Amino acid sequence: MTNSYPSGSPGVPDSSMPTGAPGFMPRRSSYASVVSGAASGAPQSFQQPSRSGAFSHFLLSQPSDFNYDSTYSNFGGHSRYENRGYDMDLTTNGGSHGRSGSWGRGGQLPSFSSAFGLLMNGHGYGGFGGGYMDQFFVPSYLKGSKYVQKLEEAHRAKLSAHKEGHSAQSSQPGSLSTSASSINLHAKIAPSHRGMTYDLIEKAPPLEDEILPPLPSKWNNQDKHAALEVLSDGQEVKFAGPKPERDRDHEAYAVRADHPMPPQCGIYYFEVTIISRKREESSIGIGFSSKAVPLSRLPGWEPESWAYHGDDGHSFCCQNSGKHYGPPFTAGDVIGCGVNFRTGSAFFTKNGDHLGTAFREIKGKLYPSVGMKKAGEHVRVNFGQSPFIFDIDGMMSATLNGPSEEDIRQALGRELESDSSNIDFSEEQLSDFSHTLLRVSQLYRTFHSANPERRQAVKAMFRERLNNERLSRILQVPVSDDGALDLFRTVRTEILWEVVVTTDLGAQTSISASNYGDTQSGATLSLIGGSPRSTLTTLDDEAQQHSAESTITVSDLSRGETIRATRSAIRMLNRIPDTVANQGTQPGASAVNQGRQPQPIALYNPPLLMIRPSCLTSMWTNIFRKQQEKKHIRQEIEATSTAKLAPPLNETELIQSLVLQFLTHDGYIETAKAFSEEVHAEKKALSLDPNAAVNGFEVKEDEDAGHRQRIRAAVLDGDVERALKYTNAFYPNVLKDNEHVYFRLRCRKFIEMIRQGAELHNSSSTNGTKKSNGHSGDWYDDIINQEMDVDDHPNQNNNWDRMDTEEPSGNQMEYQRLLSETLAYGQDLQAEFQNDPRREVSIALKEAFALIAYEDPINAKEVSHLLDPSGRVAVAEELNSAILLSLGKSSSAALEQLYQQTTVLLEDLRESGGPGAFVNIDDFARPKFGQ
Amino acid sequence: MASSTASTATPVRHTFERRVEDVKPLKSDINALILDYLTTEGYPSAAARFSKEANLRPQQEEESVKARRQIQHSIHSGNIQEAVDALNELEPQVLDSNPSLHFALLRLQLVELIRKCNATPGGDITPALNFATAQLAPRAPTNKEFMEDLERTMALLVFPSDSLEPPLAALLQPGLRQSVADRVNKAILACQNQRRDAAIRSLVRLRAWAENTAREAKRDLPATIELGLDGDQRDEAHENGHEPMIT
Repeated sequence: MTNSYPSGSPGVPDSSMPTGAPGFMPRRSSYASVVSGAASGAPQSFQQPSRSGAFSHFLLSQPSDFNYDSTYSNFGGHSRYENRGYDMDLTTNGGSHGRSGSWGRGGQLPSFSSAFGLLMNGHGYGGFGGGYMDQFFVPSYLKGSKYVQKLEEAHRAKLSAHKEGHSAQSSQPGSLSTSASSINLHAKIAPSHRGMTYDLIEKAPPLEDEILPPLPSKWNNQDKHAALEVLSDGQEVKFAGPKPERDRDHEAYAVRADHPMPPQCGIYYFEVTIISRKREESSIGIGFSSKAVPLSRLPGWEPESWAYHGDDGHSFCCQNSGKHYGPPFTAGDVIGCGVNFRTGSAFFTKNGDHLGTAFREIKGKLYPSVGMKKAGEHVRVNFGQSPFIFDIDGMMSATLNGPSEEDIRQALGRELESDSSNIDFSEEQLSDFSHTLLRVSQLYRTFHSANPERRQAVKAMFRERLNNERLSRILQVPVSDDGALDLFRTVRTEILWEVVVTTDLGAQTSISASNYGDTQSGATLSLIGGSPRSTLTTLDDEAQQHSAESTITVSDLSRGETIRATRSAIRMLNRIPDTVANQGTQPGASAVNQGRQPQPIALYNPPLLMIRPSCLTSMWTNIFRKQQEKKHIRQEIEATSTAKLAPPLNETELIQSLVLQFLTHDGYIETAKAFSEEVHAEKKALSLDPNAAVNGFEVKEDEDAGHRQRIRAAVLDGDVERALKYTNAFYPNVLKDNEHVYFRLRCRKFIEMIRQGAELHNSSSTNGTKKSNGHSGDWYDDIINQEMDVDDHPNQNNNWDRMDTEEPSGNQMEYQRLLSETLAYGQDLQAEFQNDPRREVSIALKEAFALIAYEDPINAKEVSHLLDPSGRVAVAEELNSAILLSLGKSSSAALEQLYQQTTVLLEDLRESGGPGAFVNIDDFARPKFGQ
Repeated sequence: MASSTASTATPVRHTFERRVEDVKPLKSDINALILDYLTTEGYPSAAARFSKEANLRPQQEEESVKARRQIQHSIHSGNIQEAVDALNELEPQVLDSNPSLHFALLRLQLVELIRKCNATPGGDITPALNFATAQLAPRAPTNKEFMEDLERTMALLVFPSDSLEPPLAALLQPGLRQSVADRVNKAILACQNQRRDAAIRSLVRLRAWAENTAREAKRDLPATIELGLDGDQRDEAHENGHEPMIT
């Protein structure tokens, strides 16, 4: 039974996961949103509750499966995280594939792999590691950044280019010569066109690759010291061989990641788990270095390298001697390393705690790197494929868009309604507050080691102090108060519970049981930091060993570290006595008291809400800091003068000009007229001399605009013929001079013909089914209409018969006629362009002709996007641009130019990791409502 | 970044320009930006037509855009009393809850009265003095800035209008009307829980900021980055000399 905890407990939260994403526990709210996003993309793949429920049974009945490898069982907690991470990758990717409709089975992948990953645990790691390396991943904290958006675009482009390669070969037989000969070819050709989904215009331009460096994804097997072994598809690195005698302290073995950290991220972060077996002093250095640094040295010792070393906890900045920085680290610890490219500084984290800024003035093309000296040392890296231990998402988010004062006021206002004092804490107040908490927690400890009389005294003191302290209400909130916990989540404060294990089953215990004993809500969060499973093991073991003692605290168990858990983890812990004592019965006070163990573990209530001062100060100052980077930049931007953009226009005039120019340029003539009248009236009102002429802002009757508007409307209606006619009439040279536009139009016409045919075909067949089945609402309406319309025709059935027989056949004839027209047109098209050397032309032709192969191309997801009316927009804009260029005008309006220029300028700023990394043009250019 | 176009048709073009051309903003984004601007800054008939022509759902009722425009128009034309009345009709709480805006309006009203009496030589300054005494003087002590503003405005009565110091002369410029009208507009929008600033303003400032910052960072940029507002004029100069803004 004892054994079942360590292996079983990690699974417990899974079994009670309320929805979807089995095996993945959203530790951070940002993760949760990622998963829910993916889930909505492929909802059918998440019918999991029953399966994961079964899984928990499995866990409880066969715990030994999880202990197959001592390494893994020692650090089961970590490998659990890893597996979850992969699940999530697959889930996300599966979701996006499903959306793009290119991978038929993508949607099912996540459920498979998550089951696989969890059931296999350690096995799973190597099992689908190979597949996962090719997976595209997005580190959680970079979600939504422009850089990642671009990475995703590039990735999609690569995928489709890959597919193009496939289909280009397989689609050879589908050329027009065969498909034109007979429409019966459908069945034969169709299969060879499956998966033909590339987009004919969207190619990643080569330039994109130059400016878009990839994220580091694994250790580079080609960039390591020969003594090191890279394992698990590059996620792990191990120093296997014994150390040669002559090597002394100055020798070490290092490895670097496959790609440098991209400054475009703004902040780059990765974590390294020390998975060596021995818990002795480690010699591992974690940091980053340039390619120039020798691999026979620990990072940090040489110029262009920076690192945090485990043996002494010192930070090393390009030299042999380090500075005191943080605690030492060893096996079981998770060390994070983050670089803020905007400030040129770096920080480290240990088991989820921010250790403060380690280095400044960091420069260069830097690769994540680890070095080690002792045999058996072994680390695993997380470049963002899995959730991070440290709340980098929160930090990034606080950097990017920390909650506004309004948010905080609202969040806190709920608790502190009567406290109208300023909630904007100064740093001094913060440290004061944390000291209070520290004192309180010390009191609590004293309380537990004291005799009963002393206990009562301390308790009274504690209560009093709490009541007198600022924010006491937050401190006092009962654990079951979800509102209070939400509050802390809202302000991104890490909630630390000191879980106290007590063996005396007094009134307190029963409170705790009734407070957390609800299995309904389920655990949605797990322990933070450390090695949860081993902690739980210890907790359990120790509790049994110490059952005779009056109280012990968890903080005594784990090398002086307080167990830090969120609410759900408390629930999870609390369930232990239930599980031990009385599986299957309702948890609650009675369950605890009925425990098989005479003195089972229980949680003291209320678990002390303890916010560790160091962490608190950094978190809260982050939150309350006025000069948040993004806010600061935003203010800077809002304060920028636009006077230099288009002198002598001031901002208002510039914007009015931009808007009017856009309206006329894009042919919104009515709006342009109305706008210029209104602006004119405004200028007139503002002018002090009522008789002064106000010039500018009269919209001239612009013939061209009208023509262009008509041509565009024709293309948007799908009437390519009309558009061609107008274009040739008004701008006879445009199509001659712009052959690619002409080709696009011709192609579009072919597509529209196919579309028309398909619609005709579909409508006749759906009409047929509708009438024969007679189940739809329309059917009923039809009857009503019929009755009303044909009141004086008694024989209704005749009516129906006529329609049933004649309409489809009419459609059929129409369809046949259209089809032969389409084929003839296709032959013309082929004849005209078959010798065209341009690749895009041949691809577009192939793509268009492939449509013939589908019986119902509108609903065939491989090609339906080609037929979508939205495709007309691109053609219309291209034609409009060509006409504008032929008239000697710019193809895009000044406002669009301005947008484009801004995008490129921001790209440039992002490249150097400068302020552009924190600015997304969408935040500025997309109107937000309800602010 | 370093690669340049090999095109022979165009002379040497900066990589930057080529990259700019490769960016394709979404038409829908631009359209939303326009509608947001027309609505927020109060161009009712343009906003209504645009939502029709571009097939967009109106952001706000035409009537309420019109009401804001009417108030702005009154302020632009110097009819402050009319504007205050209309504003109190539309959103009575705006002025009550915003004393500094109220004071700004009253101050503008005083400026207009002074303008009127300055317009005719030997004009009667009594109405202006009376207004200042009755409306502004009681409020001025509540705020140091109010007091300064009032004193500065009263100086307009003392000095001849054609030889004013620049800061004083600025009070008589249309800019003051415009800025007060903007504040009123924003206050109404805030009161109606609408967005206060048109996004296009942020975009234009972002563009200016990005260029400044990129130049400071010594990025490789063309000497000037044309907005293209008057680009057409250059090309068309030989044709028929269109207005700068019209294509």
